[in-house]
Amino acid sequence: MSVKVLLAITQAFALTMSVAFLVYVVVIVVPYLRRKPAPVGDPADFTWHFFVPCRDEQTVIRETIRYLRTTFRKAHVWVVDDDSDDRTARVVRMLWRRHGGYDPYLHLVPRVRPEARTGKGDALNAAYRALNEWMGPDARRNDVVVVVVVDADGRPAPNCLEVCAADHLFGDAEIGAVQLDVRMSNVGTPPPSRNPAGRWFGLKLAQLQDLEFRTAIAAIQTSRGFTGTISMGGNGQFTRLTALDSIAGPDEQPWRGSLLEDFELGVHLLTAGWRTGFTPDSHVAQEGLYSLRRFLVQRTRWGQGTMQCARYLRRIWDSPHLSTLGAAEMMYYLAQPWLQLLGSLLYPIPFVLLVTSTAGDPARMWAWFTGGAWILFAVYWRALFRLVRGRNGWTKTRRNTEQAAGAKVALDA
Amino acid sequence: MVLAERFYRELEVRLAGAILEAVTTSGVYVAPDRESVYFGLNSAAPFGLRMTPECSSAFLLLPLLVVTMVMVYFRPANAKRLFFSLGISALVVVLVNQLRILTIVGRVHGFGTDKATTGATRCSAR
Repeated sequence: MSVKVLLAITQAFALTMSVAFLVYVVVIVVPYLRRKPAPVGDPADFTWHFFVPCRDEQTVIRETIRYLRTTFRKAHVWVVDDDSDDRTARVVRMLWRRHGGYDPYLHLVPRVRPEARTGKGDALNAAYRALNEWMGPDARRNDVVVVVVVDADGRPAPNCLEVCAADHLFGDAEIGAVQLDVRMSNVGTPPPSRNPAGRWFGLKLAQLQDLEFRTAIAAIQTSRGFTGTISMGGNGQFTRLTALDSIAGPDEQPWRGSLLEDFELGVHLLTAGWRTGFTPDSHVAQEGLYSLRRFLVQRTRWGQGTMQCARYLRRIWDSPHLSTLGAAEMMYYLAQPWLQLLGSLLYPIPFVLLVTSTAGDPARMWAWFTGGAWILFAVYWRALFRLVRGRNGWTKTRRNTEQAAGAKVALDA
Repeated sequence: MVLAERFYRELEVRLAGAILEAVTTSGVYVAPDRESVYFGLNSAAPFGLRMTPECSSAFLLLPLLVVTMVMVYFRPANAKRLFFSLGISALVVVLVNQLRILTIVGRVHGFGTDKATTGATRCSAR
């Protein structure tokens, strides 16, 4: 294969991926900007059960339980202690025994190794089995029981139950799950670092995560409403108990074993015929990461989880409940890690060829400078620097024959 | 597509020659063995364009073929509709590339060879 053919193939794929991305951006931004707040429902029509998986969460679990129990008084809170090495379980027991009695709405689900610490999905499945046991075999399993997954540091907004009880969400019997918008709770709190640069960086990182969830991810989820492929997240995940029952199987495991168990849950629900919903009318707040290293670890886990979920492609395409557009959207999402890998191989090729051709024919590259093609780049970089420095004023450009004569003109600025 | 890209480029310049023949009166000559089309033969400044691999639409069809192949693999029942969509998309890509060639010819006619072939259009000017 000649270099020209290789370059042409690189160009074609790079152009296609870029165009696909730009089209995708337009398709997600338009519905997001046009969206209006929807009416709410009555939370008393449903029974709510919060599942809080915990692994060494002693520092945050007390406040989370207090928040959930005081904000949502009629909701049950199920704390799963995944064999924590710290005093998580003890804190929960302490809160359970209060005012000389027991809190009937607070439940502890203790897990012990080797069964414990095998993943968030397994912890949630333990809570699901505990809930089943608590309800009893004769309990009427109707559509009004809803399970809410919240992280140990999660703060669902006080209006989340009434928003999720709306007619277009759990008020619609076909809706199996609803995902809340996610926000970062620490966008105004810098990390406790002695280094000012570290504090600045940590705060910016948390703010950027907030921006990502409240704009890009919210826009993606809103547009998925049209393709019928709204996916579930790990925090602020509401699922109807009957929907969980329908996918749990004989082992009572609605959550599966991939690193992206939340997305996996959505795939199982959608392919089982349930519809999923998303609402930015309420939110769940969580802590944004300050450390780049932890951020990379988290995103690697998400990326690996997405790669693992590629095994569901056949299931997605075979499902009669998903339209071709919906299946294509899910495939595009699942293809992202692989497209990034392909891009990281393809995009350097033109640069390598540019360097090679420069080394082989420097005179030709020099002509790029002497021919004046650089002027546009120079002009726009200069304009950007002016913008960044806040220099938005402009003085008159001096005429060719005009002398400075003391007055400031653009040529001198 | 990779193996037959030279043949495809020949077809592309033949098509470009046919379109130019229809819309211009100054003489057109197609040299398929050089994947080139010459125009303005009756004028004082005849000019030729060579269809290089970078300028051809051949490889732009590759991603379309890949996506169609994947979708047909997963949902064969949609094959008819997918191939129809592929045909429409391929036609659009080919026609847009022909439009690009026509634009270059128009610019050469209007502004001369120096200005018309600067920047993005330079790649196929010979």
